[in-house]
Amino acid sequence: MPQASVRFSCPVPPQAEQYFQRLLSDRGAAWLKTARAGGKKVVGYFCTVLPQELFLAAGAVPFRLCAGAWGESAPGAPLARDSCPVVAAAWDTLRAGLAAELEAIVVCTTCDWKTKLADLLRAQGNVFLIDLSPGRPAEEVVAEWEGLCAWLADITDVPVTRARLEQAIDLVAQAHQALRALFALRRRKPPAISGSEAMLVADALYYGDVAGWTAACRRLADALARAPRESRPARPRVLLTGAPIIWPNDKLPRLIEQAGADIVCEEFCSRLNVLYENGAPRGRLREMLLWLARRAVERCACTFSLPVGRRVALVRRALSDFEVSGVVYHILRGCAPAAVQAAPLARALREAGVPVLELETDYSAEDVEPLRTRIESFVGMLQAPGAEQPTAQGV
Amino acid sequence: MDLFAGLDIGSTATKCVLLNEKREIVQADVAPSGANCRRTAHRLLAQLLERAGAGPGDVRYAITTGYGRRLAELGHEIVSEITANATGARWLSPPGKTVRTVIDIGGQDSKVISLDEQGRVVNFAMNDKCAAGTGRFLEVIAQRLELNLEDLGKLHFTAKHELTINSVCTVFAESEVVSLLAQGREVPDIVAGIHRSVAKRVGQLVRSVGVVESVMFDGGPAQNRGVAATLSEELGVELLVPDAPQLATALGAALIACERAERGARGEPISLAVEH
Repeated sequence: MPQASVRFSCPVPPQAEQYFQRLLSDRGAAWLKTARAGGKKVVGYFCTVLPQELFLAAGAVPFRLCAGAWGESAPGAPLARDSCPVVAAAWDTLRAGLAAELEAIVVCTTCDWKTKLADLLRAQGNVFLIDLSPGRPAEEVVAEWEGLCAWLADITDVPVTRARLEQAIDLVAQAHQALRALFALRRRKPPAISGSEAMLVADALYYGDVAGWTAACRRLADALARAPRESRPARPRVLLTGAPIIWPNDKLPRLIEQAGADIVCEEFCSRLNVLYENGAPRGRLREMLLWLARRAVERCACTFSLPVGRRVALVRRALSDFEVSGVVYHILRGCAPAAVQAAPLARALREAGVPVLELETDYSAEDVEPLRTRIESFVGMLQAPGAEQPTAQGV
Repeated sequence: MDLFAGLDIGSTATKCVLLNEKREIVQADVAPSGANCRRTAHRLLAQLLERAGAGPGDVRYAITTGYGRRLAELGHEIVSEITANATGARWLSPPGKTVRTVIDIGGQDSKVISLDEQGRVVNFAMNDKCAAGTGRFLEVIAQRLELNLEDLGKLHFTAKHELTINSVCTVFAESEVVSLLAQGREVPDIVAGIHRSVAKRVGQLVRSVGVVESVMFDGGPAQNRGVAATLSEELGVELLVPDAPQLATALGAALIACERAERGARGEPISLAVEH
């Protein structure tokens, strides 16, 4: 597997830096092997809408499979022409060897690509499909969670009990708290950490080492909070939204930063439900499952399930919290819901006076220069202090 | 002599405008970008300076823009095409008109810029990353018809029955043109159909941003009166086309260079890599 580069430009404590480098440089391969050698059952899953808490309560290691440009293709036919790059990259990675490391795979029906992917994967191994069709009430989703818990318990021999779920919820709540502490530093002017680096850290949470990640993220956030504030001229503050951008697919974030803007917040399926989370519940098993179901179906900013009006509201809240000057909307080629939602979201934001740039791209590098032109123009527009009065010359 | 240079290094053509401190055009010209746009840009600026009786030491501030803005390794600052074009278009507004929408068809990009009353860029849109609705599309079809780009504009107005070109893809549209020729269709009718195809494609882009008058049309293909007329018809508005539409973005870059110098920016003396 090709090595990924993990470098920070902000003052990161050595322990935290080493943690992220070790975990991510081989995209979690070494960590997976260690976990398996320690007797852990690693279960791959798609969509952050699935709570890590359920896997942890069942004694499994949840390893997220939604993939960002893992950079290799297995021999043989690709998934389909014009596949969703997230699903295609995951498919390639599984076929290139990752599948052998996993006990089983959980897939949600959060989009057509993933639903059909489950079909293909089923022929090759143990797959559990969860019905999260848009509009399903949380009460119904609880039944899905219960089914998942029982299925996981068969694999791990660890039944999900009230006490174990409470423990798992606490563990993940601490992780989310650490992430919120880190992301609060992005509200600073200038932000204490670059957007592409914060995104890398946030995505690393889904490699399944929740306790290790929490310790590293806390160290990082504490160090950045104490570090002297960087003094540099203000840059436009950009919010990224649309289809998720998953590390190491940092093409757009890097281009936005190279063009002279700061990315201060992302409104992706995996992000805002964490950033705006309420306290973890105590109580009976079912009540805790219901809380996890509500978080999944009511709070997740998935392009497929979230109505555009709710998305506009979520983005507008983040716009004021993070003092955003412009929005970049990411359309991942192959993701029809993200494409359909782009126009109404952009219109609503523009009407509210927020500049929006819509960009369609995938994981290939062929469009870097055309994208750069568009992004530089957008950042230039955000930077313009106010145009000078023209002096008529005549046509 | 204090001079301010704007270079718009496009995929097809490199444009350069030299202004004096009164913002008067001292020299301006266009050259094909060729395979080495850096060499082209340096050579073009050197030629214009020579014609102006000046040297590189007289350039107080130079700005590059366009696809080759970085590759050229020339000048003191890089600005985006949108900023440069908007500045140029506002400057070229005829008396009594305020340009609020700029349509620019370039070699590989077409773009629409929306400006507010004060001339600030408030929105813009660019074509998909394909040649449909760009100058390259016209170039490919002209080659197929064995015509110069200038001939397209003239032939347009002699068309009797405008034909429909269905494909937006440049390669497939070329095949369609070959079929029409084989059917014995008249070249002017094909030309008018090609212009309609560009106008429809660009028209969609303009409508995505919104049409607010006055609308300026610039970029190389704006010299083609057939495209201008068809696009005006598609949008139902009058289009302002400057005398040298291809130079609007380079002029904008040069105007920004003047403004930077006035605000105290001081560029290092530039060096031109021109082999003799």
